[in-house]
Amino acid sequence: MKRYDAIVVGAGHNGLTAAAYLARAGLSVMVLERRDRIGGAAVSEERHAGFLYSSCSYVCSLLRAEIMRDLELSKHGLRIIPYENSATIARNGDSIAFFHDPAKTRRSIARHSRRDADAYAEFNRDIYRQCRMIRPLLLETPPDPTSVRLKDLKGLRKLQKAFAQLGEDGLAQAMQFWTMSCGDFLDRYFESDLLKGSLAGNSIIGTALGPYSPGSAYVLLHHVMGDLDGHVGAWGFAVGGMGAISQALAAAAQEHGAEIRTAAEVEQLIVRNGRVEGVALVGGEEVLGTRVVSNLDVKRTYLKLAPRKELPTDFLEAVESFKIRGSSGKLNIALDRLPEFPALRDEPLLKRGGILISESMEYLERGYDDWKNGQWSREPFLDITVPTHYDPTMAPPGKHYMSVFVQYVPPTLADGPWTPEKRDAFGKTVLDTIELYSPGFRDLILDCWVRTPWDLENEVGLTEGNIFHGELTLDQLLFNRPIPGYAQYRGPLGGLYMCGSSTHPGGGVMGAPGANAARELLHDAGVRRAA
Amino acid sequence: MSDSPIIGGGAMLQPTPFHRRTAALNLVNAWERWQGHTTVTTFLSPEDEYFATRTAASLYDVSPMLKYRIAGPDAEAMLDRLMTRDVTKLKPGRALYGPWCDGRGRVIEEGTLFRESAASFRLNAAEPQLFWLEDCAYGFDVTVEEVTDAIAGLALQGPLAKRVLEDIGLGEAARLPFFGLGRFGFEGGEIEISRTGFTGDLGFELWIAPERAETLWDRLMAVADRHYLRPMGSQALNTLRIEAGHILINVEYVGANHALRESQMRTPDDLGLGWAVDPKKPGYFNGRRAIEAERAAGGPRRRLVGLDIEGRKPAHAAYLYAGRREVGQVTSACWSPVLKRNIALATVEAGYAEPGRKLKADVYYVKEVTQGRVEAAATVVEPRFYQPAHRRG
Amino acid sequence: MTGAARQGGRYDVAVVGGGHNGLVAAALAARAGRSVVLLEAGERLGGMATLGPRSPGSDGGFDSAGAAHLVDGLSPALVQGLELHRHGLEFAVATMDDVALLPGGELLVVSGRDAETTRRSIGRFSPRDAERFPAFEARLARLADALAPFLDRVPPTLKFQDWAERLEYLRLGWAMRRLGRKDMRDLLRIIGMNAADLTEEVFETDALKGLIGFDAVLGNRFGPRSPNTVYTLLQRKSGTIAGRRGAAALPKGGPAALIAALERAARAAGVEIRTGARVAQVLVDNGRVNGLALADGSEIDCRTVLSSAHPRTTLLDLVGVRQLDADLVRSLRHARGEGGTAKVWLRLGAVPDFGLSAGDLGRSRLVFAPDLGFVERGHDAAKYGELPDRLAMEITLPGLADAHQLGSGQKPILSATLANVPYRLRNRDDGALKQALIQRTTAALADLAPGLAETIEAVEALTPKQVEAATGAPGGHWHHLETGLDQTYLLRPAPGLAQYATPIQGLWLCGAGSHPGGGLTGRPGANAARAALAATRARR
Repeated sequence: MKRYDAIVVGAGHNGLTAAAYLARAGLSVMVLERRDRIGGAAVSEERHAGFLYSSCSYVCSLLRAEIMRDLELSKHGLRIIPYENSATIARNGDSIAFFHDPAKTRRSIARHSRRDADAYAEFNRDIYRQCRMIRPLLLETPPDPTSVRLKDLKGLRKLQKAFAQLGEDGLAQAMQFWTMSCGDFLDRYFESDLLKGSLAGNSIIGTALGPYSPGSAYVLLHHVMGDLDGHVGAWGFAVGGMGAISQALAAAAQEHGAEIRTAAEVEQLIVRNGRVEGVALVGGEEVLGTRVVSNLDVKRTYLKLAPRKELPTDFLEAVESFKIRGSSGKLNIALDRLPEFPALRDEPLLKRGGILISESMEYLERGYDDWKNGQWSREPFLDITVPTHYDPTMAPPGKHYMSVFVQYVPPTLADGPWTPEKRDAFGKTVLDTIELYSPGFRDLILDCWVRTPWDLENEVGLTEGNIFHGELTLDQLLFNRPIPGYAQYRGPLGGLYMCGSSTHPGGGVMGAPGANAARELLHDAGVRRAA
Repeated sequence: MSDSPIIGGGAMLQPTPFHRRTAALNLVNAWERWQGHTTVTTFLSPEDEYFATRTAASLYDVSPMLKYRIAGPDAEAMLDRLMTRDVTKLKPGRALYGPWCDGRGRVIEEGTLFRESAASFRLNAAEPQLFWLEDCAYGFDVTVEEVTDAIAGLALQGPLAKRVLEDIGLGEAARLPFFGLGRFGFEGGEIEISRTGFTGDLGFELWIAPERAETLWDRLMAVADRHYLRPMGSQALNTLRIEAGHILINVEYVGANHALRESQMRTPDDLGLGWAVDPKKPGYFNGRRAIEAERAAGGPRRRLVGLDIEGRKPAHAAYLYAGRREVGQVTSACWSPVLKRNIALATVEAGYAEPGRKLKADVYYVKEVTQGRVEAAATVVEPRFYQPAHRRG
Repeated sequence: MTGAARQGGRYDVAVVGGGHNGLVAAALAARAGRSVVLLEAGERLGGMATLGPRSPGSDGGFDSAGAAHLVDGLSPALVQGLELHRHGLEFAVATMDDVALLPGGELLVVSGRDAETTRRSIGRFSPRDAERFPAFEARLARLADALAPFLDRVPPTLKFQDWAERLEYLRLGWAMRRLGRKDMRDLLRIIGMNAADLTEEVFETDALKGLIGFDAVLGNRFGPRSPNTVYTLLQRKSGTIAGRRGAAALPKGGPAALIAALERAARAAGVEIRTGARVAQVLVDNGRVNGLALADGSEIDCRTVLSSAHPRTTLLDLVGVRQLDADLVRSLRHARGEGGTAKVWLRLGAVPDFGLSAGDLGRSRLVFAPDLGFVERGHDAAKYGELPDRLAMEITLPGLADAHQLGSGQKPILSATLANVPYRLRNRDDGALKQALIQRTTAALADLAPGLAETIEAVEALTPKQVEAATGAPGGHWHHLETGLDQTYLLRPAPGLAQYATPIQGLWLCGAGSHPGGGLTGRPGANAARAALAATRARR
């Protein structure tokens, strides 16, 4: 029986990234995917005739340029177009818009507050200053602060240097940044509710925090630290939908010899003497491998796949305590034609970017309160995009595909689990909300596919439907992610690695956890340099 | 329903109050952005526009310049805390130029301050300042208001500027002292004129309500040919200001509130603006403690200097060497048409900043389709290359 | 300046504010041989500690125990150094019991003295939790122990310039390392967590989780689900009182007695104490302190001033923005310090029936926070400026334990500290808030202690706005500024001001707005005094 050098469990974008790097370095690699399609949450699916949906994730900001280059993803068909602008629309018909041209953004904000317009430049400086410090760390393995190994000490030194570079003011700000609430942080600069709502919207995407929760300021950063074509914080659209990213990664992996099997669900890991030897599939088939890389989150990896008896108790307790909280939902909508947003009438170009519904920080926080009480936000935060502006082939000519990201949506409801009726009621809340901003919107709908955290968990395997495989809070970042002492892509079992978003640097279609995990595995396997 | 393709729409760049007039004369359609406005790079010939300023007179549209009105009983006190110069000494009807700093003594910006009356001032800046000004106003009985769009501005510069003013009935304004300021009757309304400018030549800046901007332009252009008065674009202005040794934000330095890297921030002493920091000023001003500490510790680590460079290739962004040691970098460079010299502004380590010091400049230049490189001798000089006596006269 | 203009006298050191931190700073400075004057604007000393209705008998009022009804975290070094016991400080209860009140009359007791009582009490709810509790307490105590030494040290700056600073960071690093690998990892993980998650990881009993969650947020505008509240819990646990880490104690005579002891210690050391002496201005000459101007027009001649007033009051009002850099003014204005805590006092005609004996009642800190959601919902209302329908609260009946208070035949006073009372209220003025606080507190107590309502003889309340008015601390926050992670240690009260020194030479911050923050700890006062004395020694 063939023994692979590495088995990757799960063909999400991080699993595929890891597989491609491993195969490129000359390892024999087998990728096993439970579903009948690859891509995990980065998939494009035709659910309604003629319409291609980016079923789950919908924008790409964080995919590292290094990975694009190393894996030659453009050769494999990947094209990513930066969104030019975004706008937040208000119920009173007003809007605030963000453009690449700072002077234009300034004018847009100045309509609400001249002071805010000027403060925005300083706010951006402060955010980018923090980004500059963090971005180089994304493709680094976090050092263990409790260790005295040379590698960790070096890593800590690097971390310290990155911080020291900020200077006294930047450093003080960094410390506040990591501990403050997004609300307090924004209040330092701005007075306009709509502006603060727009910016705070970024800080809550994918998290189970409200803008008033301490620690939410950091997440503001997490969402602007991507870069596309040199624009820091730019969001991008993948031609062909998010599935195109997975397809390109898979093609890169296969080109280097990796095998990918779909409809191959791993039931458990085969462990002998504290070391993994392979995996057993549902149905009993065994696939043997020297090393196993799990793209699943830390809970699924260690609580479902790994045999409990092989793991130390305190490790298991720590895994059980890892916080994964679903807070997002998604609507994919096929439209007969483009809807009108009266708030954007003066700037039709804005329809091509992201459209945010996020009236104020209080609007978001009250939405979060609903979530805490086991209810979807009665007035939800929405991030609306119309990908067919960039790739008209995703819908029949003249028709449009609209993606609506919704927050907050709990994984289970106060009155019990999700049911089809509740899913419909949730969908109605979202559509009613859009209708408030776009009268007549409902009449354009040809198809509407509503996805709750429950759906995301059951179809894609995201625990609780959390899009980041775990909360991005201080206790679960950097050397704490996912488990203190196990932040270097390895766990207590020999030969088992994690490459999902549970690991540093976390979620988003970024590929960094996959690349970092592959590097660690190759290091252990004694492969010095990738081909 | 969208019946037209989605290609922009909405206001992109804002025209200035002089736009219709400047557009009509912009024969090469050379435009650029300045604070969200469309402004002229050159009307036809930068050389012609330059020489008009050095020998006759020119008009330059400065409307996009950011303007703030600071008024109220505490306006003087608030501005005295803002600026490094002693604002209490500034009399109504006078202007001053100087920097303002953050608490660490790093320059946020520099600009001109007009005292329009005892309790009303106008501050002119190149970058948005409202956030900082409002925060600086905390605790003072003042109002701060941005008045950029309420005031159109036109720089009338050149040795014949006074004659031009006299010719359009503003002879009284022509007698304003250097850095003087006043309001005058003009065409049935009012015009504010300051004896200020960015060219290092004799000159004025004319400030008028936007709806009357075209009247002003037309009156001036009606006498243009009698004085060789030419409209000018930014390209010529850049040469003029380098010759005059006027520093420019985001070129010579980055404002402390917008710089990403601490290494890009500059103290007044770094920028050669030490003269504008008044050690005898009675009041505290932002950054005073830090600036005094830097001075007590031996002064700045680097300085802005002028360079006289051999050859004819402008030393754009050239690194500077003392022997093999890299000691600084050029921030602005040009060929000076009036001096017939190759000049530059540069920042160098303080130990290499004394006038007369010889450095080497690593100059890259375009050699048809390839890049050429020369190592040119550069001599440190005072960063005031052209200071005609008539400037203050 | 001439003697005539400086009729206020000449001193080495002037201390602004007669709260406990001001008294501590003054006493330490005097003991170091300085001539010291302490200036208190009000008529009585004690600041927030003694705030509250007084003058028994007059118009139905009564003598309350003060806004602070317990003492936790009082620095043992101070108690010893200022000989507070000699000056009359005695503890009526050295370690209070924590008693969680539950609707329906059930109680959960975490005894301060007897682990077995605690085990039995928790065991009635969950044997598993009873087993886990001692380890949980020990775990927090170990982590709090690592932080504790830094409560008495001046935080370093972020300049990393001199060796003393680097040494301080090494010291901090070493304290972490010394915890051992496991605890260090634990600390690094949980310090940023929320208290609700932490307790849910360990316990299943709602009452226990509610109690811990309440303790983590009391005094600050947080809910137990707010991240970083494990840190505020650890902070609370890191104080030591009467030799016990993290406990609360009740002085004989209440916190007023602590203030009295401090006053005696200060006077004994030679401090001149003036009440009714409102400081109007810190006089600054050429960037240095040159005395104080009082509201009555007199001037004090001094070169060193320790101010226990709110940092904003000290710098923005007493010094004035004209002497300060605008960025410093900006960061001071941004420091969060809107109060979120209120008080209600009841004078009762009889000992209330909480299911405890009168003796036990006097020894107990009763907490009504039946579960995490209860506390969190209170926070949810407060964050929008709304008053929660049901208030989480901490209750003591100090007189019952304190013979000093009880012997005189006085009626028991119930002192309730209410969480989640917003400083900035929507659609309600302060008078209406006061009424609502009284009404909601008495309604809650009527449920918890049958018959209590009928015995109420007098009520009083204190809102954050009133605290602000009475103490001059803008926002009326009990700790002057919130004590969350973003406003702690070298970020407190604002970056650049954490070393107690201010940009004005000779002016030092010594109040609760400075590290390590609020509570009756005396530590900000002591740390500031030490720093100021060291600096003046160096200059001499």
